[in-house]
Amino acid sequence: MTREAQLNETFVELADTLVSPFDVADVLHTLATRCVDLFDVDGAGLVLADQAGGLHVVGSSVEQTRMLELFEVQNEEGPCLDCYRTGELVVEEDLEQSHARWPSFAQEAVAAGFRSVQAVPMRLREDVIGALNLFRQRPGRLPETDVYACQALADVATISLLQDRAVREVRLLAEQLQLALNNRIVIEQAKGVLSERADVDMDAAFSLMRGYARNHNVVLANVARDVIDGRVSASVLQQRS
Amino acid sequence: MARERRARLQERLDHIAPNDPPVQQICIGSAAILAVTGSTVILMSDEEIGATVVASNVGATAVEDLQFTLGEGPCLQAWRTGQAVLEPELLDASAARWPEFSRQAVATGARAVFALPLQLGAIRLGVLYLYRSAPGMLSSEQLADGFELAAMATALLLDAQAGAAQGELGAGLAGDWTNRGIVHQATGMVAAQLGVSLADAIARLRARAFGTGRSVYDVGVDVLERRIRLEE
Repeated sequence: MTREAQLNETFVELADTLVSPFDVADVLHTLATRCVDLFDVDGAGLVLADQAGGLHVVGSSVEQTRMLELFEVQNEEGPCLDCYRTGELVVEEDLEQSHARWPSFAQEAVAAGFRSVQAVPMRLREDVIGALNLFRQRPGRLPETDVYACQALADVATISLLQDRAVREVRLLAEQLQLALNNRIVIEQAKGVLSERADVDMDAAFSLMRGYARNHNVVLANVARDVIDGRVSASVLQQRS
Repeated sequence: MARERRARLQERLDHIAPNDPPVQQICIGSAAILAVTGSTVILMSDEEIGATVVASNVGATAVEDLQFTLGEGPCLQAWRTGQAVLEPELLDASAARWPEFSRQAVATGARAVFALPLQLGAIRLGVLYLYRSAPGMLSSEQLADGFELAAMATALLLDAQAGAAQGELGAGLAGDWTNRGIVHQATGMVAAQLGVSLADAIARLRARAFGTGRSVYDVGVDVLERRIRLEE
């Protein structure tokens, strides 16, 4: 297979996640390994930022501890951190000459056998979610066309990731809304059940359930469900108050 | 296209109801933009119990009560099928899909009813209900606007829920629980009185309401006041 064909196939593979079941870890691993297959690169890895801005390795072409540590150290300094902060491509053509730039990272990268590094942002408009790190055993830099191709792969993966996040957030919100609505209904129904069983008015029924929920440190809606199902009796609620 | 339509609609909403919170704005604005008499944003629970978030007028609020009493109607159908329900003339034989709803809705002043699902992919939240006091179909342009307004309402409902504590409804989503609470409390009382399930209790309240030509809310008040007791 020609390199162009391989590259096209990789695009399809990454974009496929937009229409089929989605495994984040798998997409990121695919992206990292394809970079090593397709370009003059000896190691590749992805870091994604959490909500607090901490960087985490989420996919690597090599699962060696030493390689993974190279990503970890970049929470303090390194091309990924710079790339994540600026949203711009970061290039270091000779790590042996870059001790001033990143003292710890440069030392560890050279010890791991690497001489040059580039970091490509994972970005959609202003939203930078991480960076793709490309390591080489020789000094120098990737040809510009290869950098474009890497950026394009990172872009497709970024869109897939953001899409997946958005869908999950919406689903979660919808579930919470539904739960909250059900809770409201259940609490009203339980007030009616308790009012009848304990022969108290609605306000008193509500106070009994709320007092029990507070004393036992449980959620009011769950007390309401227990009242309805008869797991918590009226007399138990009245003892407590 | 959709983006332009949304921008245009938002501009009109800002003009029609400049000072209302977003979900209210959509509800009130929908009535004006779609040339309908009234509109309601209704959330639906897993048990198919509607909860009106906001209604543009009193006539629009009646529909929730009516459908809950009868267990049928355009909103329930839209909710169950996930598809828009369009009924331009309730007096038509075609409205026979909900005979009792149609009869009673006409009595409350509705002649055409439309229910657009509030949904996003597989996620369903509720229904945007619209009615007209005179018969008449929505034009294709109004229908396109209606779908876009429903999509905007869906996004706003989710936004409103984003700030809420776990298990609580988001700010502005609870609507008016004074009347609705009474029906659910009465359901609980009936369940306890007769030793039946909540679903059974709701069915009995509905049957009583239907049999006596009253709303399920009115029957609920009587149950709570102990003026009536449903029989075994």
